[in-house]
Amino acid sequence: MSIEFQIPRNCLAALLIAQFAVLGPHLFRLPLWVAAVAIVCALWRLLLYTGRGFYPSAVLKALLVVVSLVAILRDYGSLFALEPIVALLITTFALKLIEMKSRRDVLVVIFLAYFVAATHFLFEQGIFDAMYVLLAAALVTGALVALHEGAVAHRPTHAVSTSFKLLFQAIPLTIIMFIVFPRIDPLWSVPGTESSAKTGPSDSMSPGDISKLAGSSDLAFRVTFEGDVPPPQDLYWRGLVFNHFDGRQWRAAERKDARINWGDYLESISVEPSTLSRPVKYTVVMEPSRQSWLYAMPLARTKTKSVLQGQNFTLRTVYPLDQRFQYQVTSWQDYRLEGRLRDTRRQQALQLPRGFNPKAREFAQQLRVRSGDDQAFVNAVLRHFNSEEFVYTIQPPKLGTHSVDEFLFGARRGFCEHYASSFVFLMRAAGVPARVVAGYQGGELNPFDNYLLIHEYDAHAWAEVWYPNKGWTRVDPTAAVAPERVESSVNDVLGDEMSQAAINPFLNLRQIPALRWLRLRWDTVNYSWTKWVLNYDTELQMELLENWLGGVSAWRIGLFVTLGGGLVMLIVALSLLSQRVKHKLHPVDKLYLRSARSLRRLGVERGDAEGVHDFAQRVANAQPKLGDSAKRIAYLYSSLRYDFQAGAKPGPEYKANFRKLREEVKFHLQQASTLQKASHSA
Amino acid sequence: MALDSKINEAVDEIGKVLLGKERQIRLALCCLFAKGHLLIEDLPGMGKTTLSHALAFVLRLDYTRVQFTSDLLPADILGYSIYDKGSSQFQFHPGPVFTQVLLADEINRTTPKTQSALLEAMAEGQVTVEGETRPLQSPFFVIATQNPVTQSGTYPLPESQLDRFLMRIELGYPDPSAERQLYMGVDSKEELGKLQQKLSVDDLSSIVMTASAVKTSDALLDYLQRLVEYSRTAEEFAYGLSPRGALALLRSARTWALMEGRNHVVPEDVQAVLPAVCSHRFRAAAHFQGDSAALVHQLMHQVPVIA
Repeated sequence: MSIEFQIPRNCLAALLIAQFAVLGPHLFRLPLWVAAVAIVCALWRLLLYTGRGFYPSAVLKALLVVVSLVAILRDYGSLFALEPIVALLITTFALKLIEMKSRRDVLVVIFLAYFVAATHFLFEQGIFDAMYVLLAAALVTGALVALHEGAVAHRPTHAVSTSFKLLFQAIPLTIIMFIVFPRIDPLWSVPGTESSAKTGPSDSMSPGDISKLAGSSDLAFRVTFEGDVPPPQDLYWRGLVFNHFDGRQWRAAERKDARINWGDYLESISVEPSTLSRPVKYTVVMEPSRQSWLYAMPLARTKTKSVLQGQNFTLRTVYPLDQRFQYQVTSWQDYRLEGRLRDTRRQQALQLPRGFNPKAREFAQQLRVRSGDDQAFVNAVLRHFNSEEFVYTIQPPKLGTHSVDEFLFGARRGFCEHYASSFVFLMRAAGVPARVVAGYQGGELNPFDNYLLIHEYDAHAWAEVWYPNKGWTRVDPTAAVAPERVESSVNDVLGDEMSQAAINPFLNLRQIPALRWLRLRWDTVNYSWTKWVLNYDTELQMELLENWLGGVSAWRIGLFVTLGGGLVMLIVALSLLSQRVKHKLHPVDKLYLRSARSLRRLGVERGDAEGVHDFAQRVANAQPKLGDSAKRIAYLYSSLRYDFQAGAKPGPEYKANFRKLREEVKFHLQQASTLQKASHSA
Repeated sequence: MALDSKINEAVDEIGKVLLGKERQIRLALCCLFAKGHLLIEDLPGMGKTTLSHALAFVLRLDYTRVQFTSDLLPADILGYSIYDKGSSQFQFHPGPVFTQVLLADEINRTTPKTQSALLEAMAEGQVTVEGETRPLQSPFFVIATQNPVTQSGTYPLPESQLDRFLMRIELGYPDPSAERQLYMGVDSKEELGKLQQKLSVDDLSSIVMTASAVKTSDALLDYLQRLVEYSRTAEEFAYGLSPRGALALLRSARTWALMEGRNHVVPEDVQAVLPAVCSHRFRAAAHFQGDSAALVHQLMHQVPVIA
């Protein structure tokens, strides 16, 4: 007999399936040759199992490792980033398959499989990803179970179904541990993945930038308000303020020391206390944009750590967002910002490049003179946009060097950035401080959970104009051209045009009621997942525990875990018991068992598998005084339960015998207790 | 005289030559009364032949003994035809199988070919020789013996053939006092000759008749089904008891109840015959570290009588 370890067949099968389940989502991210290596290794393993293959020699193994290292270096250039490290892990994981010989090796591969499954979360954290990884982990556990079952002949599915059962039973405890387990901030940050593209407005704006975004129906961020959702015309999500114009491009020209203390800032902006008293509070969950600016409604203030507040009341993070990011904002819709403008700031807000757009400059200056004051001038420009034949379109014509001139006096077709850019140009040309603001406008209300979805196609650009004493005021020139853009979404206004131009042919589909219902329903689930699972941090945990337990202390958490775990066990126990309760004992059996149990205290215990006559004999031997009655009981029991043919109705003597048995048992119990007392007193 | 007391007398009578083995004697009789064949598995010199001999004597049945060897051919058991010059015809010479009690000694020493020839006779109660089917005598019992230890050069009976035996019993060493009597006693051959007939063929058929009328209640069948179910689901068993096995168990339990003087079966009866009826029908699963006796023990002690 061979004593060499053989990997159980079920274990190997489960392991191979689990391996591909675990590798599956990675293989799409990694170079094709990694998938090839995994498949070749699996086939090699199968050959080994059927006895036709050979185990690789040490030299061959070393060679394989070196070759894969070189291949990874060739593909990624370096080892010290997320993808190459994962590629290395997965390649070695696949190679380990052909090295597997002893039980220990199998265990190593199984534990590696768990690890590889978990690495998927470095890339994706969606609800389906979690479910998938859970499924993969169950398969890996199946391999582990099969390994421990050894060579016992079981159905191949036995181990996996056992593992699913285990997993299912573990869920309640997992949830409890998820809730109470201390959240530890990551010790290091995961390096960003290379392949992901930046989304949303970028740090500069040229004509056509925003209209490009309008074709995308990706989600930008979600907002949950503490109170009512403000009306659409108030939903201006400021992201970037552009001050510097070079004739073609608008740039932020933000100062490096962007973090401004709120207290310091109050001096430079005359905010009247009464207007500060009606704030709007909301939570924003940003999708990973790979950029560092955040979006908020005007005059935003946040307490969320790691969010910086810019001088123009814009918010940003230190590092680009590689993951979903959540922050709380308080906004004051009624505000007065920078009632007095410092000279440096005024110069910034009047900057214009020399030598561009002479016609526009002239037009602005003339109009300013005619208008009398700044306010009237702004209105005159807006009226100009409204009354002349300006067209709001997603497909504006290309513009040359004097882009503002060409737009204002030539093409007259443009998207929001054209209007915002030209408007600010006109303001500055006439000596009115103004700037371009980029961000999003509007949002789709999810009626199921009452939160706003802001998509890429909601991207927008508008202007802010400075009036003496009044400070910065929002002016949206697009509203003058296409007022409906502000009230509804760009879809409703330009949807037809977009689908005709095939910019986003699916945008119109999104508005079909059933699809819309499905999409919003699903988004609700996804949003809750993000809010309660992905962004469940120490703060939220403390808040939750505080609410549930009335305070966070060791004994409270201990009690919660114990009671929670106990409750789970209780449910399991009850379900097990209910299965037993279903089977009811025959009344004769009940009576008999009562008499048999009464002897336990006298040292005679009936085994479940002991026949009544055998037991009576034993009783007679151990307790002679009870012998006769025990034998009578056995006889009566036997006649009541065994002395008739199956299916036949019990005879007329049945009832009489039952009565006799009851009396006999009564008598027996009395005797037993008398005996017991006697033995006690003795 | 009541049947059960007649049976008791028979047991006592056999007990005269096979000392201290009352339980095995009763089981062997029970097997015959239930019209089943008996397999005795034990070391040489434990009284296998004596038991089978005594059984035949007490019932006054024809008795033949065949020593099975590796060169034994089917014809050696079944019989053969020889050309008779006088009548110019083939004359059938019946083999030793044409008897009432056939002792097949060391059945596992012969080839499967010969084994199966005997097994046809056991299952059908008839033999086919040279295309002609001849009925055997009635009653017809086979008492086979085999040596469990020396397995080299043997052809162990496969499960399907073991299944033809209603019971398999082991005799075991006698207890010291019985053995002492054995040493002091006279020649067992002589004793065998002195045995008296205690049961007639008529008695035998009335026992069979009465046994089939022994009552089996719902509660008892429930117990039987629990046993069967356990053997089929417990992990230690490679496979469970077949319906034929379960029927064999029930039939034996009925006969046992009759021998105990009862007109109905109680779980004790089932438990009494369970090891003999079932141990050769079980095989332990690969991971179970016990033999079939351990399985029977587990079955008997795990399945509740009242549930």
